[in-house]
Formats: sequence, structure tokens, C-alpha cells
Amino acid sequence: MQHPVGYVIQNGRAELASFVDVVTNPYGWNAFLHTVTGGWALGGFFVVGVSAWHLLRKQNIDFFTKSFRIGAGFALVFSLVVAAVGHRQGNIVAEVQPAKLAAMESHWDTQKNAPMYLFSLPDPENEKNSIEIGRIPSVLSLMAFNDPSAVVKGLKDFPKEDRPPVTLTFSAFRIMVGLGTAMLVLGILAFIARHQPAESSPRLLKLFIWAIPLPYLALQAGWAVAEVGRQPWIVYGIMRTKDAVSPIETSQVAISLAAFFVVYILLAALDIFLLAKYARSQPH
Amino acid sequence: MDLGTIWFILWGVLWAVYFILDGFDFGIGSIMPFFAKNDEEKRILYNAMGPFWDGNEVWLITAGGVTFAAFPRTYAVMFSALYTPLMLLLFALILRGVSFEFRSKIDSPGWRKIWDTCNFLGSFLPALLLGVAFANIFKGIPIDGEGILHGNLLTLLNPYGLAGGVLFVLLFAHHGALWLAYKSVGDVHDRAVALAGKLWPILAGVVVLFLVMSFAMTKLFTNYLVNPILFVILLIAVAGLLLTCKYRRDGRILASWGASAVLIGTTALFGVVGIFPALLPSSLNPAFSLTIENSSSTPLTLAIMLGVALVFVPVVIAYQIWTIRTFRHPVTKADLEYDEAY
Repeated sequence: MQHPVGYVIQNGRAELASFVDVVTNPYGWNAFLHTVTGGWALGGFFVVGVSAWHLLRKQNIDFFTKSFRIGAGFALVFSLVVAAVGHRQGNIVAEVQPAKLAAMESHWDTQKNAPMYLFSLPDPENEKNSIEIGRIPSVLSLMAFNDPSAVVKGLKDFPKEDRPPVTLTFSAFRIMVGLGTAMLVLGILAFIARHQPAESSPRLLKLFIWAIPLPYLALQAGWAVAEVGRQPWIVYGIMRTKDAVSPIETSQVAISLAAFFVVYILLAALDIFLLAKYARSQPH
Repeated sequence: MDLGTIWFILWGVLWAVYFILDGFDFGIGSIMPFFAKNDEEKRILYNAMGPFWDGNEVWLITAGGVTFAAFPRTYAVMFSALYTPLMLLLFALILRGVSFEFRSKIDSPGWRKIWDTCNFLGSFLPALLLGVAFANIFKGIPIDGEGILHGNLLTLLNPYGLAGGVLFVLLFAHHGALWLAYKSVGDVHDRAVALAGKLWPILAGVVVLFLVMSFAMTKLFTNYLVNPILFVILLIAVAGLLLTCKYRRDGRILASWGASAVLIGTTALFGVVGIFPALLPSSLNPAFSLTIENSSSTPLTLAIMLGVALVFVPVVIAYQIWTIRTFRHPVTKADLEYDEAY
């Protein structure tokens, strides 16, 4: 639905034209690899963090040295892979979802040699960025198309009703990349420390513990980019979200949404509580 | 036979198999507060369901998934018109699933009580809601030409809907008691058999009542009267009802459970065959019904799905049989000592 393929519109609906096209959709495969490797990196950091907690307290050093080493391998390797696959995902998005790419970077004016800014503050009302600091020429073109002189379409080239919410998409993207970079650095540190992690400085071990939530936040930020950035489309370029809404009462949706919110927050709290309890316990 | 009809039959079969499988763990969960005398007995009931409930619930996803892929318009109307009961069902199932995994993680009676409540609600409510939902589907629901429901949750709680709810609760409680008997020994086993025996006459009465109400309040029998050979479905259902009682009395518990499974499956198929070729009949106007013809996917999609199903459904059945065989032994007190036990 981000990149519909293998279909034909007839009889008032989308009908399958090519099963092969659907199951080989490059958007789908790349997104799948990006989410899966992100999950593996997260797993690596989780194991590193829990191991570090025990090593800090000099508990079961042999056991947690082994687990730290395995976790460190996953954390580093898959932080690298998720970044590489993520870059490819950016290339794909630039090609088939240019409005999303423009929103991700809060890029307003179509140009070749499009620059990237280290810091921007989007001002969507006025179709510009109110602050732009740290201009790096051609980097946006390079990142999006692997070609510094490529033309990157700006948001102003899209009708207002076809633009996604810019501030949210832009912020989520920067958070994801920032956290992903932090994960790379932490992955390297963990990998270096992997043979004798019990000998690492307490400050470093504490850093690995505090790093546990970071991949979770990165994954959530990434989903926000994917799903907010695709707006206003539910089927990209073909059907708008507002045209796909079911004919049911708003109150029904509001109540079920509130219920999901409450139930999921309760379950998350319980889950974190139990995870922490079992993470702290000794292996047997 | 065209692909639409083939998938209609598979759709019916998937729902029937789902009720046969999740039916027994809904049943055990529903009887738990009344049956189990202490924590140890509760744990025996949890372990009788434990290795199976998740694989059983997967058939719900399959049935829903087939509705979505083979009959997308039916899926769209069903999940909008039945939004509230389906949402309630969903939350009940979430609470049930979590209750299995969280209950034994903290050693506190208060903690266990919370999850026991969730497990009961997550077993009883789905049984009731599925019965109400399917009875209403069999009767026809007030959907218009746009697929919009002219009514609300209370509309579904009409006498026939409620009868369906009570029927499913009883079918599953009886089915669960028999599975519990199969998976237990000693006093728990004996009381489970006795409970199945107490439930049977009530169940038999409600089955007859439901059949009579189906005749009086729905158009289900039309297909049967036109094609009397289809009455064999009802004959098999009655055979299942009678045999489950006979086998239980003979001490053949697994056979009794099998007969109960036949009863549940044929009850579901009775309704599905009765509404054919509609999947979601409209009580406002037959022209508004969702049928094979107006809601199925293209022949290409149905053909690909059939190929996929012919490969993967046997795989699912195979691993399900493997699970049932691996965990065929009764749950004893000694089993509760294992770390992995529920």
C-alpha cells in the first residue's frame, strides 16, 4: 500500500494482475529487511544491557561475558546493516514517495545539488524553515539519489492536500537517524569491550544499561516516519486515508481507540516490570 | 464447482474447525471459577489448555484472513457492522492470552486473581460473543445497500442471537469439560466427567431449542428443504450429540470429546450451509446481502489462494497434530513442579 504494484483498477476495485509483481515488490522486501535487522540490533542491545547490569555487580561473570559478546556482535553488525538498508529505503522512498522524502527533510524548494541542514525548524504554515543551520551542499541529493547533482523535489511542488504533516515526519526521521547513529557508536564500544566486559569502566557498563530503550525509540520513530510520511495516502497515490474510513460511528472508533490506549499502556507497564524483574534475576 | 463455492465451503470449514479447537479452551476457562477448588487445581486447568490455546486461536486468524482475502467485501461489511462485538471479542482475547503468560510470573495471590479474572472473561465473553455474532449472521443482520448496520449492539442481542450465545457457551463448556477429563487424573478427572454429564441434558435441550428457533425465526431451512440430502448435516449433529453422552458413560473420554467436536463442527456448518450462497445475509432486503457473487475476489486471486492453502493448511494440521500428540499425557500434580509449567 506504500507502493502498490501488480494491480489493475477494474469493476470499481483494485484487482490482482500479477502475483509475482506483488510478492517481489522491492519496497516491501527492503522495508521488511529494515524492520527485521532493526529488531535484531535491538535484541543485541537488550542482551548487552542486561549483561552489563550483571557484570557491573560482578554476578555470574562467565555467563554474562558470553552473552555480552553475542549481544555485542548483533548490536554492531545489525546497527550497520539497518543503516545500510535504511539508506536504500531512503533511495526507494525518494523515487516512489517524493512528498514523503521532502517532508522527512523539510525540503521546500525543488533543486539539484539539494543541501542538507544539520538543524532545521520547519514552518509549514509559511512553506519554509524558520531556522536552517549547518548547510552541507549537495548532501540531500547524494543521500536520496546517490548523485550530488540529482534534482530533489521540494514540498512546494506538491499541492497542499498531498503533503504529509511535515513537523512530525521531519522530527521522527531525525530522531530515528540520531538514535541509529548512537546505536552505531555504542555498538562499536560494545564490540571493542566484548572479550573482557567485566573489566570495562562502570560508567561504560552503565551506559549500556541506559542504552536499552534507545533502539525501541528508534524503531517507533521509524514507524512514525513510515506511517505519518505516507499521508494523505492510505494506498499511495491512489486512495486517500479520508476516503477509506469505514461507515461507523465516531464514538465507536473513539472508544475503541481509548481502550487500546489504556490496555496497551497497562500491558506495556506490566511487561517492562516483568522484564526488569527477570533481567535482574540469576540464570539457572 | 467454481472457485467461489470452493472457497465458501473452505470458509465454513475453517470456522467449524476454529470452534472445535478454541472451543475447548474457552470451555475450560469458562468453568474454571466454578470448578477449581484451589490454586493447584486451577494450575491443572491452565496446563490442560496451556500448550494448545495459541495454536487453536490461530484458526480464528485463518478464518478471518480467508474472509478478507477471498470475500473482501464481506470482510469489510462484517467488521464495520459488527464493530462493537468484534472489538469486545478482540480485547477479551488479548486479556486471555496475556493471562496465560503472566499468571505464574509473580508469586502473589492478588496477582493470580487478576489474571484468573482475565482468563475467565477472555474465555466466557468470546464464547458468548461468537455465539451471538454467528446466530445473527445465520438470521441475517439489518444491513442496507451500503453495508451500514441499522442498529447497534442491542440489536444483536435479540432472542435468536442470545440463544446462539447461550448455545455456544454450553457447547464449549461441555467440550472443555471433556478435554479437561482427557487431560487429568484422579479427582479432577472424575469431577470433569461429572460436569460434562450435568451439562449434557441442558446442552441437548438448548440444541433442540436452537433448531426450533432456527426453523421459526430464520430462513436457514430453505436450502435444506430444496436439497433434502443436506439434512445429513443435522443427522450427523444429532449423532454427535447422542454419542458424546454414550461414550462418556462408557468411560471413553477421548471418543466423547470427538463426538462433541463433531457436534460443534456440524452446528457451525448447519448455519453456513443454510445461508449459502450468502456470507452475510441482510434482514432488510436480500438484495443487500453479501454473497459469493457480489463479494468474492477475482478468480485469479481465489486460484492462487487455493494453491497456497493446499500447501500450507496440511502443514498447519501436521504441526497441530504433533502438538496434540506431544502433550497427550494427563497433567498431574508432579507436572506442576516444572519451571515451564503454567
